[in-house]
Amino acid sequence: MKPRIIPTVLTDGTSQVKGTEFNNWRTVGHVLSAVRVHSARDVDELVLLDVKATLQGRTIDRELVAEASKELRIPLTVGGGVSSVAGFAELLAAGADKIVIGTATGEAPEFISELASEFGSQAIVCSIDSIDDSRKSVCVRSGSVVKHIDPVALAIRSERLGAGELLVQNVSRDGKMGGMAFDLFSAVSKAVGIPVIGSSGAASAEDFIKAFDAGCSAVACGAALQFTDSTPNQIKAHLRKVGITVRH
Amino acid sequence: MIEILSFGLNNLSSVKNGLEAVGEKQVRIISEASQSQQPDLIILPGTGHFGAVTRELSSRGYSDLIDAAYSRGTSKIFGICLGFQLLFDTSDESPGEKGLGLVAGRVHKLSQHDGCQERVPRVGWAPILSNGAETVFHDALGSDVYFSHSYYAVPEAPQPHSLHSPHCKDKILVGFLGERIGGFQFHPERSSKAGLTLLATISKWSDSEA
Repeated sequence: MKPRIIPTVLTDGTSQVKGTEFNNWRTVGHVLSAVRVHSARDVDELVLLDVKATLQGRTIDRELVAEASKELRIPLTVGGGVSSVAGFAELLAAGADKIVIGTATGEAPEFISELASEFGSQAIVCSIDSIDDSRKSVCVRSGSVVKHIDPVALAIRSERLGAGELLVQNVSRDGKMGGMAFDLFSAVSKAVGIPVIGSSGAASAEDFIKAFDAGCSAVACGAALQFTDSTPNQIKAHLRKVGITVRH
Repeated sequence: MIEILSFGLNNLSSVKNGLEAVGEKQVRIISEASQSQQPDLIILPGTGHFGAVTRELSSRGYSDLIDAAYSRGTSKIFGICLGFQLLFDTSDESPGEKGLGLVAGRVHKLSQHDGCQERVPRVGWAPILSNGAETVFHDALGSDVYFSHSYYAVPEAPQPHSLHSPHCKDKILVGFLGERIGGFQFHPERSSKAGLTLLATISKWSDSEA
């Protein structure tokens, strides 16, 4: 399969937001405007996450997902506060193709098995939110709770329980465009047979190249595609120069 | 008129929107067989789990609806993703469960044998290819389309207008179009422009006489 570049759009439930280290959220615009820009660029896929949902005891808004889905002719992956089979089903019916499971991945892993037997693994993306590069801990609940689990062990457990893909994030690198956790990507990719989406800290085409080399099937990218003049197509031009075959 | 069968578990609005975007004026979503109004085409969509969906096929009356429509030739049938797999006899995903059996063949798990770099589920963009024969899908050949699956169908006999896609050192069947039945393993409604081209071909097929 061709390596994918996936823009990430974050929301607090009302507006589009950006932050650093899963915190320091600031409003940067309207979610649907960002979705339209990415749609016009015909990106490989879009990730839309509600970063306040779990903390506020709700799920990402179904209407927002439906509106975003209507704008897109490419796959849509959404997440934020999904903790029930009914909630998962509602988001699929609203137009999501895949759903990110964050908190439950770390706290209630049996939920992943429940989802897999209902919906099949391919709709389930488990988020592994590593605190930093040390492989000692992960976080849940939008970064507010730390659990002392090795992210690689969490990745292996999630695959066994039925995850279809893994989204590997890194709190210390989030939002900073300072480079990605390539060693972590490599360790996770070697430990599982399912696709790994590397995230957090992508700044330049070099980061994408290194992430794919480390075994990622896709790279999810927020800040670099939001605050710099890089576009996915420009990044793809660089990838082609070094022999990586990408879509288009 | 096209009817899309709902199992209550999946995203149908994208398929409906895609068909409407290529000019289909009458696309309905139904949630049980009694709601069917003898459409030109029945679409069996879906993601999910083979076993979970075969139970729905039965409980919503869809198996009987489809069998009747197919044997009388009153509607054409088109399956997408899990719907494509349901056209066949059985699937490794749910041993003991039966698919519709409209195409002889079985659905197997995608393997990751030694030397194969591909991950499973097979998620992302890959090209559709023909076996060299003339195909109604000629204007989309070589384009990348979006896949999301862990199982693939192996028919007992070659299918008309077959589409294949690479997996490891093999090519797997990912689409075909017969006189009254067809399907795609990939998601045309999420495959950008190539997907719309393919939906337009299906739309035209649904209007033609069998």
